[in-house]
Amino acid sequence: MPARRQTYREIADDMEERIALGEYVRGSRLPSYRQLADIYSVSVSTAYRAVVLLQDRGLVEGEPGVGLYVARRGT
Amino acid sequence: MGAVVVLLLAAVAAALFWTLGQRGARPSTPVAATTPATFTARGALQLDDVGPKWKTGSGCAGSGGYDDIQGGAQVVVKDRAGTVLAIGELAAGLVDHHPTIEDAKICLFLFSVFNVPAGQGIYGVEISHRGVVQFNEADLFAGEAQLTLG
Repeated sequence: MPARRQTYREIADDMEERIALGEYVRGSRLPSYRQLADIYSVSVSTAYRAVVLLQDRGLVEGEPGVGLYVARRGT
Repeated sequence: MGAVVVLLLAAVAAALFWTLGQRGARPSTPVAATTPATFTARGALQLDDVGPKWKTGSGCAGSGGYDDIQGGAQVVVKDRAGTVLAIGELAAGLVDHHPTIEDAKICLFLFSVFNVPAGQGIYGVEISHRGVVQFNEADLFAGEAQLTLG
C-alpha cells in the first residue's frame, strides 16, 4: 500500500517544528519549492500551500524567484 | 459462615457508597458550543496554460489579458448581499504542472483573507474585479476554494 501523502497543513506543522528545534535556523535559506516537494513527496503546489501557511504564521519570508527564508523573528 | 456475612456486608456497603457517590456527584459542566467569530478564508486561483517554457517551481504572473493577476492583487470576500466583509491579496504566483493536462503548466496563486466573519454559510470571493464566485464556508475554511482563469 503506498504511503499516504501529507497534507499541506501537516507539512507546515512539520516545518514549524523544525524551525522551533533549530533545524531550520532563523534567517537561513529554506529549500526551494521543488526541493520541498521532493522532500515531502508532494506536488509543488502542495509545498507552496504549506509555505504560504507558514508565511501567514509569520515564520517564513520570501517568494518564488527570490528564495524562501526562515523569518528572523516568528510570531 | 462468618466470612460469607462479612462479604455480603462489604458488598452492600460498596453498593451504598457507589449510589450515594453518584447522587452527590456534580453534574458534568455543560460545554458551550463555541464558534469562532472570524476565520481565515483560504483558496487558490489557477491561471491555465502559461506555456511549457515556464520552469516548475519558479515565479510567475499573468500576462496579456491577465496582467492584473499577480502577487498583491486584491481579493475581496463578500456576503450574499455583496457587502465587503474582508480584504486580502494574492500571494506571488508559482508555476506547477497542470493537475489534469499532461505537459501543460499553470500559474498558481494562493490567497489568505484574514478576519472573515464566520457564520455566513455562503461567501462571494472576487479577485481583481474578475467577478464574484461563491463558495461555502467549509471550503474557504479548509483552503479548498479554487478558481480558474484562462
